[in-house]
Amino acid sequence: MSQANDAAGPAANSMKAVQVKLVLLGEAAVGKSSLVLRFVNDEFQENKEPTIGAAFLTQKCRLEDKVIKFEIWDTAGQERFHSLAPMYYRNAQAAVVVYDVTKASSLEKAKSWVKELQRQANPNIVIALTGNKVDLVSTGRKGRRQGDGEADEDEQEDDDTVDDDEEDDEDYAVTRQVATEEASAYAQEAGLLFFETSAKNGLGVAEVFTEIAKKIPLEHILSSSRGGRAGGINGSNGRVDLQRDGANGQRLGGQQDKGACAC
Amino acid sequence: MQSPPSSSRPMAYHLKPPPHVFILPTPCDQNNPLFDTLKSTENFLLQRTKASKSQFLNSFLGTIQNVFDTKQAPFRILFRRQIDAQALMIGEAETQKSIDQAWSWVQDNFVIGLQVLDDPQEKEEWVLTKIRSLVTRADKGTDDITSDEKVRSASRAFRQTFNVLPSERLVSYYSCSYHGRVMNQGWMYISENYLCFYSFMLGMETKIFLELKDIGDLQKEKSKRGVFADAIRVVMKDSQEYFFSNLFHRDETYDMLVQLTTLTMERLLRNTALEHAPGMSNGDDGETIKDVFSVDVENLDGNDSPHSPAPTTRPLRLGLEEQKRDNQFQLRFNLPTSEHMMEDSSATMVQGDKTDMFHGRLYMSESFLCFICVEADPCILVLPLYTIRRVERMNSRTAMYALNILTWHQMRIVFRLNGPITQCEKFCGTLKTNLKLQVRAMRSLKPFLATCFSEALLADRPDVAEKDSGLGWIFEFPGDPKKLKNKSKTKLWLQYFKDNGRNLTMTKVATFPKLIRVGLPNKLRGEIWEACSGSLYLRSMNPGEYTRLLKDNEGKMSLSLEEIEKDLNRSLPEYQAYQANQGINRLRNVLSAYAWKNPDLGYCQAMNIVTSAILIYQSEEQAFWTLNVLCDRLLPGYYSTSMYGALLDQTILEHLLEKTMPILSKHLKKVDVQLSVACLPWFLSLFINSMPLVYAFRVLDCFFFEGPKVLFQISLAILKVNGDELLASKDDGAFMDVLKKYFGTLDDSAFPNSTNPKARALTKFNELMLVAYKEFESVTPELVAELRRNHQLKVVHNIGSFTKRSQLRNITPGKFSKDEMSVIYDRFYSALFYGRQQRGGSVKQEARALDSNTFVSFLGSIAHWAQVEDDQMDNDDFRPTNGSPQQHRRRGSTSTTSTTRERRKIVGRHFISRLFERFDQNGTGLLSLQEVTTGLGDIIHGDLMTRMQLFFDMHDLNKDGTLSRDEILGMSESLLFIFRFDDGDSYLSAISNFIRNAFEFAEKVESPKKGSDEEALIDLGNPSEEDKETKDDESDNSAASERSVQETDTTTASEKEDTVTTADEPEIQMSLPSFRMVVLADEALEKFFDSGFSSSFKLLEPLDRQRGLFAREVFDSLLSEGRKLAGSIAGGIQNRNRSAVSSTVSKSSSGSTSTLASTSTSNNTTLDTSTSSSSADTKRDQTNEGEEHPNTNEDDEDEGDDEFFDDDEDGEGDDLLDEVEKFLTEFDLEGGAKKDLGLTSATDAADSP
Repeated sequence: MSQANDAAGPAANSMKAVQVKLVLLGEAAVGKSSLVLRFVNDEFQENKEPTIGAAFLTQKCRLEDKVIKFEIWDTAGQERFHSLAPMYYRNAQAAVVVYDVTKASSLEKAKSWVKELQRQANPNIVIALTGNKVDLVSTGRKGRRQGDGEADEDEQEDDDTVDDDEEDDEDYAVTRQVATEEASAYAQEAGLLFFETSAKNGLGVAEVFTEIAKKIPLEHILSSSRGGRAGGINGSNGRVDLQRDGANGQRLGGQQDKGACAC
Repeated sequence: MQSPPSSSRPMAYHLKPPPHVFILPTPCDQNNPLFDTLKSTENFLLQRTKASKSQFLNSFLGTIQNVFDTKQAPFRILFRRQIDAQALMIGEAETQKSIDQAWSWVQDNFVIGLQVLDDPQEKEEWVLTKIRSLVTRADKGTDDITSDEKVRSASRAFRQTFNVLPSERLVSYYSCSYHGRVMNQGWMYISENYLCFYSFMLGMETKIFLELKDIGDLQKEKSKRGVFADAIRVVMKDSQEYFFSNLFHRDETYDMLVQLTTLTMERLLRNTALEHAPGMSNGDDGETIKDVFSVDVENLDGNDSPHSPAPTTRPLRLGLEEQKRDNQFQLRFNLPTSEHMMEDSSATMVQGDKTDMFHGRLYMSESFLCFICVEADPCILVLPLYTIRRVERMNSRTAMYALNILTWHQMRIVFRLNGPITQCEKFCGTLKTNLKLQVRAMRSLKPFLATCFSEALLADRPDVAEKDSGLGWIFEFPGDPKKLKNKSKTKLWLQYFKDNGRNLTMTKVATFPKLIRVGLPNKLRGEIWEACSGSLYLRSMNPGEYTRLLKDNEGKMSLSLEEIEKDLNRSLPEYQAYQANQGINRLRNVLSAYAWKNPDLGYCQAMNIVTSAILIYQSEEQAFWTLNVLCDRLLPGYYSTSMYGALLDQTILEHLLEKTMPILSKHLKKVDVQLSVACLPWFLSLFINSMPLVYAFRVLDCFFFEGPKVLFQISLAILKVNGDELLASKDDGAFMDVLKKYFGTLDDSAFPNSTNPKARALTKFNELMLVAYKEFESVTPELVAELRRNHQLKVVHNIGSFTKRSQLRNITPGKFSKDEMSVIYDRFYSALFYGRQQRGGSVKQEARALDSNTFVSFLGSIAHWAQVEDDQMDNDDFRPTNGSPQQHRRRGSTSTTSTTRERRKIVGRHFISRLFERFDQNGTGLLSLQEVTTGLGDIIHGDLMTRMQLFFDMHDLNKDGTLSRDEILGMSESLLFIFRFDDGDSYLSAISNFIRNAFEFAEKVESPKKGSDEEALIDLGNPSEEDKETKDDESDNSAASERSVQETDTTTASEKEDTVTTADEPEIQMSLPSFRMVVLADEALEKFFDSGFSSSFKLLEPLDRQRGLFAREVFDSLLSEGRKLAGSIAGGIQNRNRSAVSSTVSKSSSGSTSTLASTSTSNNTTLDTSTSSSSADTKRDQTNEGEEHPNTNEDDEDEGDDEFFDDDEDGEGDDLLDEVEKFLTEFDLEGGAKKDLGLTSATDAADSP
């Protein structure tokens, strides 16, 4: 996975660029990595390796007179990687929570991520809810919400499609399981940006990032000493978020992870 | 106890001996000057220490005993042997009560039997057998029956000092001192789940009770003055610290604690995992996992002493030590976990015709001979016994004892055993036995070797069937074989095989690591990985298991399988094989087979990457076993649902970085970069998707041979090599970029500007390996193991608190505060944690929910009254059925083991089980955290009305909206159960009031058989006669057995009473409104429902775990008293109903906050005036009651009770009729009031049919 060339050196153009740390969260195989890959390299890989831990990519984008450098942390989706997520979303100014429009359960997972972000992450974090894989659903059937009974069947079908759709994309029209209105209503209620995208054909991908850029208080970030850290109210906090007792926002006393070896 | 000799007093006959008093008979001196003999018979003595009499002596002796661990129980029972002067101690106890019980049990059970027997020898045998069978049955699984007498007495002291379950086993105990405000010398007890300390110094008692699962850190320390390294600091999860010093065996204690906490952590991890058994088939309902302690319990044939032929348990400690030793043994030789070290001996090895001699140690397990030599010329040989063709004993001149072994590969190995001849004989004997057991495995050797490429290579036909080899054979291996010098490497290995054996019989000599480090040749790579990691042994010992796993689970689905399916196309997609079905299918097979084998782990992303890489060089079956070794041994906990292993190793890496590169470490902290964001993927996918494949495989070569320490070495080397650039990076983005760029240049020359062409040829990868091995030599497997031990507790607790946070986030807390929710969560999982251990570690898919048993312990941990004594976990008695307590009662009465204690337990458990059903909203038979939270919230945050409703509903068993007679009694029993720990006895009068009022307020149902209520009342009066009788009977009994008699009697009485009741049709019904009135009629009850019940749940205040012994003793009497009262009152209704009614009425008219009261005020004012005349009586009665009840607990209870029941007895004729008449007029009034209130609708309906 290559990345935008000019993003590598911190020295290059850094005078103007505002760094924004962005994290992608969501259930496994909803297309988080593909979304990033589309945004960063404008390409699509049918079989993208699952992300282990998290992948890191950068992309610059121009907004009016400012250059914004997105530092993107693309996290692993499998449930058991959940406990690692705080490591990546701490100090993040923006988060893209992705779900799969063909899989109702992925929206539930997305909601729980939003809940977690709103409680544990930087309080000013800009969250965008993004329904991916809209290319899989035919527009005519858009908006139909599937009953729970059919959900399992659809999941199976969905899996098949994901596996095979390189060959027979047209033959399959996967049923949409998450209606736009439903997700949008939720997003509005929870105060999130809302998009539907297709990483495969690029629909709406760039929009996600530009809208986020617009919503982030860039001035605030610029005025602070270190751009990338500005929004990080938690910046001075503990290293591994696992060690912060989230309920009270305190560090667990006496649990320094450094130098405690008894040898 | 089943064949009792007939007793003169059947009523007093003890069916059940008191628990924990009897011990395995131990010889002792009957004329010990420290003991007074209290009672004696021909054969038995009851003695008490002199110490217990004098306060001073007690304190002084206590101190001495404490310091020297000679602490003896104050009471003991001896059996007088007639053979010699020595006596045998058969029981000891802390309290007079329990020893008295035991004494009378002994009298009842032995005296007559002993009279029959003449021969003293026979007598002794009979008594001892009986006692032994009693002890071993009652205390099965505890250390009370351990063969080590010292452990036994310590175990007893431990058990009596600390309130632990009887199944809790003491592991070890050490003398030490605890530094509190002052230094206390005492004893540290370590059991399976707890670390306890007890000291008794000059009258001051210090007790510390710590749960191993809450220990956050253990540190070896120097004692406070810093002179002796003899102290251990224990830091709890909540940062509370405890400092123990003067430990003579500090290291042993420390190791023991580390081992036990590790085991506890493992269980904890299973308990708090974010998801459960994802690899379990969707249809499976349960799976039993290995109990960590199961290996320790072995019944030895205890023929060591003539006095203990009964089966005994080996001290748990020995078991743990063995387990630890076996673990180390398995790790050292990469053996399967089924192997245990059986023999070891110092030995000298000579291979074939060579002259080299290796001096080292030879070990033997069930299926292996392992030799290790750590001298200048090191070598390791792991020889599976099934590869041995012949063993001969050589009578050589030099060696005393030599074994000449011929392997399958016609290789001759000679072991000279150095040691005493007997030991060598023993070694050979074991070898012979073990070899015989290997015959079956020997047969499958030939087909197995056919799958080893080394065989084909040596036979000079390197063309193995495609099916049994890696994908590389078909799709080519990554990298340019020429550049990799594949041919010359293969040649070197060929030579090595010829010299040192191959596959299963290969000896690893000094050149072996060198051959590994230069990189393995493609076709041999898979097999040598197997040989290095030990998966070769697993595969050869479990032929067919892989195909069986796939076949057995064909067509089944699980969460893991779905996850695997998603990732199949996303594993090394750039490698050709994974763009075709062949590769995909193999990957699917291996990953699913593993998920079926280890459903608790299932499938974790990253496993697909590692497995797809391995499959290039290994066949499916090879890869499957290698994956097993990876997940179980090399990367323990990496891919588990909590991924704690991966997190742990990240912590260790940070620690190592700080030690080896402090500047970089400091810099990273300064710019707030977390090392793991970069390094975690390296460890999880073994560099496979970080480095170019060719180099990742080179790392794998070393990793399989040298273990996880290689990962640390290489990671540190990467950081070191890029040190300058990393120091220049200012945030994690830049940090990541540096590393990513570096991995892209591994192919480049490390010294491109060097004039030396050899230096120029060195790639950056070569440089990396060099740095890794040279500069980080100090990172040894031992260091890694030690660091893992030191950091694991913290990591596990961090995961625990993370899990807790994320779970609590998804709980609707109701009105509970965050702190309260935190307590509920902790108690919930604590109950699960200990509950699972109790039940042998059975894990169900819905393992994160309480079942009826764990719910009992959960409730017991937040409410004192819910602590049901679990002397024996007789779970059969408790099922959340809809059966009434009467059913249980009757079952109890037919079985011979019915006692008050059990009855109380049944009532309690029944009450809790109904609470359980109420909490279980979706009726699954399991309570989730949410259900418990909601249920508790309803009780705690509800109001008086909802709680009354709750009680009403809970006791309305047939759900007809009214309480029948039985149901009212059930309610009163529940109340008695809940109140049983309350001080004083005001509650007794409250409950008696309740029963009285309940029967009064209840609507009478016209029974066709009965002419009038009156008749029914008289009919019901009978049981009170019974009561009277039994009381007389009781007073005749001796003081020693009085308590138990009383218990037995009341049980019988109440049962009789029950039979009477249930024989009749239910003749009363109480509706909810009348129940409310009854409750509001009594101040104590009202208070209970208003605040008492909800505040009995202690969430934030600590619950007093250590109930005094006293409380337990008085409890029995209180309960029997209460039940007697309940029985008598229920029977002969209301000799004092007047007062009851008046108090009710005045109560409700006094206008409590309830809605009921407010509507009834107007009506009740009239009532008030009509009954005001009796208010004086009421007062008198109440004060009388207050005086009477304390008496009933004492010896002179007869008086009080007689007075109490006098009315009953004498006034059965006219007086009672008078009473009833009065009662009836009042009842009419009352009924009228009710009608006015419009509360009769329900009762009317009930009356009409």
